[in-house]
Order: sequence, then C-alpha cells, then structure tokens
Amino acid sequence: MKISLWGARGDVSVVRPQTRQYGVNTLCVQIECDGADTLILDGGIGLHWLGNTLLAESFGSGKGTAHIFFSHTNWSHIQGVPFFVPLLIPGNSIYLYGRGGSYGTQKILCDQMSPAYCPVPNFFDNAIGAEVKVSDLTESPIRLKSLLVEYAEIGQFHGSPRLGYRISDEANTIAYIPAIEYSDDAVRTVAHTLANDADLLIHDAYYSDEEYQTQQGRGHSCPRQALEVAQSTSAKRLLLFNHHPERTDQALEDAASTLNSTTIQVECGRQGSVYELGER
Amino acid sequence: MEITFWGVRGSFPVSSPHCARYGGNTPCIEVNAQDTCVIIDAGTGIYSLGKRLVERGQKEIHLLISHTHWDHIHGFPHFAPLRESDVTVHLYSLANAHYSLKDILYGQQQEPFFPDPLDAVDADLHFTDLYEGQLWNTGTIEVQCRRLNHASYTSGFRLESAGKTFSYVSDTDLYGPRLHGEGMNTGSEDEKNQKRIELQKSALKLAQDTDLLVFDSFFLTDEYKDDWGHSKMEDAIRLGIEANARRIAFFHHAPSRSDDQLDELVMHYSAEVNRGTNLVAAAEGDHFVL
Repeated sequence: MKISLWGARGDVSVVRPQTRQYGVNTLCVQIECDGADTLILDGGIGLHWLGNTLLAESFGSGKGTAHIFFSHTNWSHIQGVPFFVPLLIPGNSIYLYGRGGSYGTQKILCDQMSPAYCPVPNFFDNAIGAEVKVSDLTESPIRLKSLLVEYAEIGQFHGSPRLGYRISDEANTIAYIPAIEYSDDAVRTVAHTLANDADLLIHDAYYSDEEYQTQQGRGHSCPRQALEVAQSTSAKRLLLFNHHPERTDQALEDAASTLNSTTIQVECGRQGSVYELGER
Repeated sequence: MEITFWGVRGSFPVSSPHCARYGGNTPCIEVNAQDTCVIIDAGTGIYSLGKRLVERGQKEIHLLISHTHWDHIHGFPHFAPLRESDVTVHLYSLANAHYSLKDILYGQQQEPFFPDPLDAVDADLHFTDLYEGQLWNTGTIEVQCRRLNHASYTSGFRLESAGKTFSYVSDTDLYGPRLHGEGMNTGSEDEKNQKRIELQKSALKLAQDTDLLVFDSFFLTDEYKDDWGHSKMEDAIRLGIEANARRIAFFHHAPSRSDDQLDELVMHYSAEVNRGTNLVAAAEGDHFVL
C-alpha cells in the first residue's frame, strides 16, 4: 500500500516562506494498492495536483476510476473538487462519498459549484464530463476490490457529522482521523477502534498542546492527544495532520521531535511525502 | 498613493517551489493614501494583510470585491480585522439583480462549510452597491467601478488620489470573441458586437493615463481558451498602449505559471510596450509608490 500526501494543511492555504517545507495545500491523501482503483481521502487544494498527475495515467484518456471519501465538508476538505480535472473528462468514473447530514453530500458539493462562486462547468450534470456519483455513506464496511474501507462517525461539529476512516488491504492498515475533538468517551472509543493496530495513523493536530488549553470546544485536537491514541491502540507510526495555517515548518519539526519516543515513530504530514507500507 | 500586492495568483492558492518567488496566494491588493486604506479582493493574500492591519491599528477599511469567484473571496473568513470590535469594514461590489455580496459572503461562512458564521464577527460590516461609472469617495481615494467581460458580474476598478491613478482590470476576456456573464450573451449579433465594444471602452476608461495598470494575464497566446473569461499577456500590452498606461503589471497568474516563465515573458513583452512604459509581472510583496 502506498500513501501520498497531497495536502496536510487545515483551514486555508496561506502561502508563506515559513511554511514552504511542509506546504499549505489543504487536505488530500491518495492511497494506491495493487488490484484497486485510486482511493482518495478528502478533497482540499491538494486534490488539484493529484488530479493533474492522474491525467498522465488512464484518467487522461477517460479510462480512470477514483473513489473520493470526505471526512466532512468544511472548505479545507472539499475546495479542491472543482479543480480536479479528471471530473471534466468523459469516460472517467468518479465516486464521491461522505455523510452530509441533513444537507446531503450531493447538495453540498453542488452548492460549491454555484455560478456565483465557481466558473467550472458543473460536472455533476450527467451530460458534462466524467460519470460522477455521490453517495451518503450508510453501511460500513465497503469493499473496493483489494481495499476494505471502514468508517465511523467521530462526533458532530456544529451539527455536521464527521467521519474517520480505516483502510486495509491484505497486508496493511491505515487510519485517517483528520478532524476530531475528544469531547466524550464515545468519541474516544470510536477513534480507538479505527486506529487499532494500524500501520499508519494520520491524526488531527490542528492545535498545539498549549493552544488546545484555551481552544476547547472548537472541534480539533493536539499532538499530545494524537500520541495518546497512537500509543493506546498500538499504532506503528503517527502522522500529525491538518496543521493550523500559523504553524511554521520549525514549529512542526519541534512538535514531532517532542513526541518522538522509542515505541512509536512520529512525523508531521508534509505535502509531497510518500509512505510505502510493506509486508508486516 | 501606495500599492502593495498580497496575492497575485489566479484560480486557487499554489503551494509549490515553481512559484515561490512571485507567490502563490490568490488576489489581494492593498492601496493606501494617507490614512485611507482600500483593499481590492479577498483571496488568500488577505490573511497576512489582515494581521498587518490589526498590528497597525487600521480602524476603517474599504474592501472592493471585483467578483465572487472563490479565488477572490475565500480569504475573507480569515481576515483578522473581522475579529476586532472597533473596526469597520466597508464592502463594495458592482450592483446587480442576481447576487448580493452580503448573501454570497454569508453563504461562504455557513454550515456545513465553515464553523463561524459571518454574523458572529466583531467588526461592523457595511455593504454598498456601486453602479457602473459612479464615483465613490473613500476618504482620500476616489473609486470608480465598471463591468468587465467575465462570468456572473465582474467589475474592474479605477482608484484616484492626489492626481495619481491605479487601475485594476482582472478578471476579463477583454478582446475575445465571446461575451461572458449574466445577461450578456443575448440579443442579435449586432447587439452583442455593440456590447463587446462597450466593454472594451469601459476597460479603457478604467485604464486611461493610469500610473499602474494591473491586468488579467492568465493565458499565454497558445493556451488561450475563449470560454474561460480570461485574457492573454499580449492583451495587457494592447490595453496598456491604448490607454497610455505608465506601468503595466501582469496579474492573476495561472497556477502552473513558473517564476522563470514569468521572468522570460516580461523580458519578451518588454520589447512591445511604448518607450517610457514599464512592464512587470506582479509579485507578492511588490510595493509601488505612485
């Protein structure tokens, strides 16, 4: 299983010299696995550049299939979708999944494309571009060829459900929990189930440990909490993710080195990083 | 009048080494004359500008929005002065019957897209519709707004202060064969031709004898698509010459446009401008005193 990070930044892509190394593309992770179609977690700005890379493969000639799963629909998770060029090429099949609550994922994604906001042709229209299907997730797990996709609701924030994912092939498992606040034991239990024994845990660390003290109730967590989950679930490797726009390269380096322990390898998600998970 | 570029990139913010020098933030320009502060567009460049304005204690801010495509408004929820209770932000856009700027910006900050609604901000917000050609006074800077050839309702601006002029003409397909935007592509061929001529005249009025013309230079000549509503670099030169602009700045660079490419393009096109006219590609951090 190969995991590529196309965007690891939360909120908004503010381009600054102090964040050049880790990048500011908003959230997008690609998972590749033998015998499976392209699987993508979240559709921030990173999705555009992933799309351009996919065009060199079967997606350029309208023969590609991709599955995009959203953890929720705040801007930093969906704002790259209008700029995902494979959606504009007839013949491609693009499946989008989320849990849109009372709005529904299809309406949320279509609203983003309203002409007042977005000049891109509306590929949700059957006559335009790829075959696009949007689903609100109801039953876990989903089998997509050699990949098993499990998911669970990890709390709600301002009335919108948020999902965490657990993706496995025969050899490896990654857990994806990009936005979570440990507001009660139920949330903790769900997160633990998703992360259990994962080879790679990608976890929200939007706030620093110090910031979190004054930012409780804002829907995010901090590196110390991410490490606690990784340790108590025996995850092999922890990737801190969904970085605050203010978090500089130096601050990210410091956060990871503070947490690094003998039992678990901790890194900060960096745009452009690739992780190859092999036989266990 | 002083002009500072905080975001120059079109479409979406670009976080990549290929554009590290010119910058990857989406459109935002600060214009100051004495105590008056006018901002044009609220792309991601407005994030860092906002922090600067709070530091320097700017209490009155005039924000002109050329149009409401994402790259021109998606920095607005992250504009630090919105969280200051003694700040007033005056927002302006071209009047139209379809979209109110207020609704668009409130929409951007509603569930399930954004956690903090716009009506919870601390600053006072005042929305004003501007009409075609109308002159509007913001302290020491006089603003004029005219419609451009781009999707929905898009306008350019002409700002004048103490005998100096700054012109913002982005996003538009100024010399293309198609009409863009609500209600434009209607009527007979003659009527459409007339509209095209009117739009070109409007751009000329915005740019006439300007000290600095910022122009939509999204496309290279061989990349041009007539259904996108953007211009080419050579169009910037053409308007600059017709309008007798003193300085022309390529702007709204395509996401893929590299720093080296922009350097070369400026060299190439510099041979085509009038003597005494200065051509640049706008870069984040550029500061011009007119």
